[in-house]
Amino acid sequence: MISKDKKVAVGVISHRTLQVERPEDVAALIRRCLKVIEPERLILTSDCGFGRKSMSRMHAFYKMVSMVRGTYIVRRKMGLEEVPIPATDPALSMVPLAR
Amino acid sequence: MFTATKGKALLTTTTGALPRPSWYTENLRGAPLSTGFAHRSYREQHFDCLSCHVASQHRAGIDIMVDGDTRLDDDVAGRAWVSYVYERIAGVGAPRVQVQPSAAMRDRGPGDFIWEVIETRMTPHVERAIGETSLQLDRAWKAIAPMTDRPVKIGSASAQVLVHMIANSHYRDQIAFLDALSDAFNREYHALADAGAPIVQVEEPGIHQNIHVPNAPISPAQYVAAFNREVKGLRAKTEVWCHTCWGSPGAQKMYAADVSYEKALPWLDQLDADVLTFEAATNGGKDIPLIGKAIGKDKKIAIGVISHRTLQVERPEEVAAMIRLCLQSIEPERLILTSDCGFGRQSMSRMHAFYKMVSLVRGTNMVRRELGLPEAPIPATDANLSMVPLAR
Repeated sequence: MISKDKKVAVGVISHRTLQVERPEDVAALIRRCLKVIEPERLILTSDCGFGRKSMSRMHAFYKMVSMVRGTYIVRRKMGLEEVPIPATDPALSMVPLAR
Repeated sequence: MFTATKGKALLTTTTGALPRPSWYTENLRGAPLSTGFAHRSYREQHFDCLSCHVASQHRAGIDIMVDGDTRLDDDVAGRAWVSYVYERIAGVGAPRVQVQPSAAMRDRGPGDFIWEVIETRMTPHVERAIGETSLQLDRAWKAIAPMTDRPVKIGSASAQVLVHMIANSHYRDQIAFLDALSDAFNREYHALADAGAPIVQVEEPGIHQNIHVPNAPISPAQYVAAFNREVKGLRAKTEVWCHTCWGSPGAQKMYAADVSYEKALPWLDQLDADVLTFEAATNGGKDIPLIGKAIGKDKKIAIGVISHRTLQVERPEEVAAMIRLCLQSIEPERLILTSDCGFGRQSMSRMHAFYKMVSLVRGTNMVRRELGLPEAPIPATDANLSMVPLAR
């Protein structure tokens, strides 16, 4: 219904839940978008803002990280550019990765 | 024994943790609660916070109140639910910069919410035999008890939780460690019961969370035995509740979205408890028919009908629908309505938690009305007290 002269930004992470979405779930939602919206018209965003006395900074931050990680899962499949996500850098983990 | 819930149907409560006022800034940091109560500023903050919790639960019409876990420090994602306990056990050393024994690291890494939680979790070791404990749960109860004539439920992380969070550098094996902790906690709960607390809530057994773990070092039967050791003798004095859920650091579910209680239910039914609580709101009550079938009639069942993982406040009609689903499998006199888990632990605002409680009671009142049961007054819904005109 939205004409081709417009881009479409679809909320793939919710401002109404505290449970941080998994990147895989975000990617699945993006793939659904791509069935009807061309990649060059598609922007990924949150359903709404995270302020307005709702969740903590930590929740909002990791929802953003998950959104970008999920987007990168799809970008990778499509051969599109990925930019490093500093929050996921294993070299900066404060605990050992392996047990 | 049944005390607060004896002979009553469809009572309401919440799990325990509540978001606290912004002026609550002092933490005990390992000091005994009694020491905190001797410091003027901490005492004032603690008791005033309890007053706020009592007032909000009263306004919401809640039947069985909680103390909001007010004694816990304000740590990342509710770390103090565990650290409050291990900081007050003789034999457990100072925390070290070390990942805890049961960190949920599988399938997670930097960039995950839970990874940052793991980074903040310092791990103590049990360095010698477990000795005296100073949880002072009885003192926590005495602080709130005079503020209300409604029953107040006090809860604590259990020995089974602690054994997964403390590294064992002393006992020959995990069972010996668990047994020692269970005995120590039993003494604390008896002190709480002897002080007059009508309900003691143990949070939570390791059964349902570990039954899905391959090669778990402790079997379900051993968890049952340890839990029953932890609560031994309590039911002769007070009502014993056992809280279960799927984890809640920062309101995050620690398991797959479709995880089920099914395999754990026969074991949970063997626990020496009067009331078992179950998380259900998060998955639309998928396990409720199984719970109703598996849990014996000697126990009451508290079902979570409001979620601690969502900010969207449930509508009373939705709560009522969940309750009717429960009543298909659980008799009204055995059913208690609650939250899936606590509302603290760095999650929602006080306003969200409050209106979720209001919705819980409004939904319960709808079903009470249908069943001809007395409804709870909910001051928060009094039209006369609206600050804006009702009609437009």
